[in-house]
Parts: sequence; C-alpha cells; structure tokens
Amino acid sequence: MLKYVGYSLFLVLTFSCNSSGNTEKKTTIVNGSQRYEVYQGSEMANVMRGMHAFNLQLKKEVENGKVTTEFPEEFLKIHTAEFSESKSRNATFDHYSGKFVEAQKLVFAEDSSVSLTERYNNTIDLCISCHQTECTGPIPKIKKLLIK
Amino acid sequence: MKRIFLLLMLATFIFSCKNESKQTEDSTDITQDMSDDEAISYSSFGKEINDDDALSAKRMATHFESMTIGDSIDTKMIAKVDEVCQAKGCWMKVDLENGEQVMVKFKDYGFFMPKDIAGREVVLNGKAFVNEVPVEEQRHYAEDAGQSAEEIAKITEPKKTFSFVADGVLLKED
Repeated sequence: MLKYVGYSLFLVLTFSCNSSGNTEKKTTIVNGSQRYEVYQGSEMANVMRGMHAFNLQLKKEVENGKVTTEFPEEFLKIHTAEFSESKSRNATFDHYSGKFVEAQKLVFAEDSSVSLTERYNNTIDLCISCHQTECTGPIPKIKKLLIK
Repeated sequence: MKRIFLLLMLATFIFSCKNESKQTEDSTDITQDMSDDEAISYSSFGKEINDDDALSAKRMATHFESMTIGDSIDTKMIAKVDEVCQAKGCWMKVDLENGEQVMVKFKDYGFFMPKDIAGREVVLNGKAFVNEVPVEEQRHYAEDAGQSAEEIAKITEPKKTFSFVADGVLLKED
C-alpha cells in the first residue's frame, strides 16, 4: 500500500512540473498590408519597378557579354506616367528621363565603340543621379544593378 | 497493479513535461503559444518575423553608441515610432529613449509602412549601422515630413545618424 502512495506522490509531483508558471501568451500576427492602407505605388513607380526588373536581367546578359533582348518600348511611358501624389514632373526629371532613355537604347547598339559594360553602367548611373535629386529611397536597390 | 501504475507514471511524465507549443498558420495568420500570460497582436510588414529576443530601445542605444561609422550589426529591436514619411511611408524614425532617434528604411525599398503610426510600438528586424547623411538627403526627408522651406534651408551640414535597414517590421496592436 505504501508503494502505491509513493507512486501517487510521484504522479502529483510530475503533474506539478507542468503547471509551474508556464501560462500561455498568444501572439497573433496578421498581414499588415491587409489591415492598413499602405502605399501601393503610382503608375510611375510601377514603370520604374519594371525598369528595375528588366535591368536586373539585362545585367546578367551584359556580364555574359551577349545581349539578346531589345529596348522595351514600354520604357517610353516614363515621359507620360502619373507620379505619386507628393511628386510631380519637373525639368530635372525630364532632363534625366530623356538621358536615361537615350543611354538605355545605346546598350542595344551594335556599332558602339564604348564597351557594353560601360554603356550599361551609364544607364544605371543616370537612374541614381536622378533619384539623388528627388527620391533617394530606391538608390541602394538601384546601385545593386551596377556592374563592378 | 504495479505494472499499471508504472505505465500510468510513464504516460503522465510524457504528457506533463513536454514543451507545449502549437502553431496554426495560414497565409495571413500565425498564432504562437509562448510562456507569458499576455495576448499580443501584431501587424506584419515585409518579411514575416517574430518578437523573440528583440532588444529594448535602451539596450539598442548602448550598442549604437559603441558603434562607429561603417560598423553594422544584424539585430532585432523594439522601439516607439516618432515619425513616418508622409509621402509614401518609405521611412520612419524611432525613439532610442536617450534623446536620439534611429532612421529606419526598408530593405530594397521592398515595402512601406502606414503613414499614421507615430506613437506606436514596432519590432524591427534587420541591420543596424551608423552613417553620415548628406545635406541633400536630409533636405529630402525634411520635405517629405512637411517642413517649411525656411526649416529645410537651415540644413547645411552632414549629420551622423543611427540607421536601420529593416527586412521585416511588426506593428504592435493596442
């Protein structure tokens, strides 16, 4: 009988280990962009995201020394796309966007005396220069496009 | 009888001392059982993170103070939001509780925060570093924050700042 009492005591002690202050905290995490209104990007932002994605691919081709793509005509939307509310088209933007389109087209020129890498990097440098005047946030991301 | 008791003991041991942890998950909702008695709700932005082992703002302040320009550390910190970019929510400043602020940007410009969360608590995961912000960039931030042309013109020197590039942010719900 004493044995069974001993076993029972052991059981009680074992149960107590489960309840030693280990109450639960529930942490609930929900997707913030579904709960809050966050900036989704203007037409211009989307054009530029497309430019980034294209140049990310183009970078690989330039590094491999052979460009198989062509200048995307959609890039010309840079001259007409709507800005986000807080920004507007100005002379500086028009200057840089014109230079950018010219430089990007030169990457696809077959008769250039300038190296492919240099032409490509010139394009990216123009993006960075323009962003330094107006919207600096994406600069670190754009810099990753440069071929070193 | 003895065998039954031994089996009972074994079963009790297994069920009582295991580390209870259950997690239900779908694309937008994760519930974690932890070892306190408080329910906490967060909204997640960017990469999904948790609040485990996050450093307090005061603790983080001592790390920042010991860092020099060019140093960086991977870390997770809790802080109160002082200010958010009013143009897009593309940066925010959080309080270090020592009179200084940390400028927070989001990795690869990959996500944005709500613009009306000043005063709220956030958990930031990413890279902390000390850098120098050029005049032009300071003026840009001042412009986004809605400061007057007179105030913006007063910015004439580079400033040493504490910075953070977050890949994930949790916004604590009240």
